[in-house]
Amino acid sequence: MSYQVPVAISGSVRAFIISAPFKMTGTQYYQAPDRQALHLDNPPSLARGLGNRLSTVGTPQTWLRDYTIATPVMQPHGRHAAYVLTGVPKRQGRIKNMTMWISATTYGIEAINFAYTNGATLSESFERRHGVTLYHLPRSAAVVAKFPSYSGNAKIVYGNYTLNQPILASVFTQH
Amino acid sequence: MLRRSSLALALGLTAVATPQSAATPDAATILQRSQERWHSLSVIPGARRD
Repeated sequence: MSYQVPVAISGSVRAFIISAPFKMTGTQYYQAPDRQALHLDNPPSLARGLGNRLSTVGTPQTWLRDYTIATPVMQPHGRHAAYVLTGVPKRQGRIKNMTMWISATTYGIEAINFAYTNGATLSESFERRHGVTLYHLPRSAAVVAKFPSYSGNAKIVYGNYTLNQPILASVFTQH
Repeated sequence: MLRRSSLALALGLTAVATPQSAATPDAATILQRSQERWHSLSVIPGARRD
């Protein structure tokens, strides 16, 4: 299973005393079970760091592989219930822990929060188009990032997903 | 009395609701189902609904 989807990301980034709005476009790729990449076409230098962070969020399968996850609890989330899972990386790195909210009815991922060892945080909330629930991938996402060198807010709008078409392996290599 | 009855009813409902939360799946099951949902994109549109 694979998909690729055009994305449009807009928001504002604040670095030191400079705050600037930005817009960028790109393509997000996913190849089962665990390969993913986000290629940005025209990232402003201020927003490049945020784009890089978003490309390494992961999938449920990689979270299960890479994190030790505590016993889930069910909590109200928005208008319904969600399972709240907290995970600690199995290998020490920059991420201190992560928390995810997964719908108790659809198992769709509703939100993810990452906390970093340097005190930084990255949160991403996914939205799905009301009334169109055939697709479990998001139509848009809201991002809030607070890092030592920058902070920012962004909205990601996903375009039309292209499903199960071959994706070049080079797409997933670092560039 | 009416308030007490309402309270008792509320507590009764809470007691009934508690076993449901005890049935929360484990993390592996939740993430597996979430991944399956992710993969369900690959089915014919309309074949699977929430």
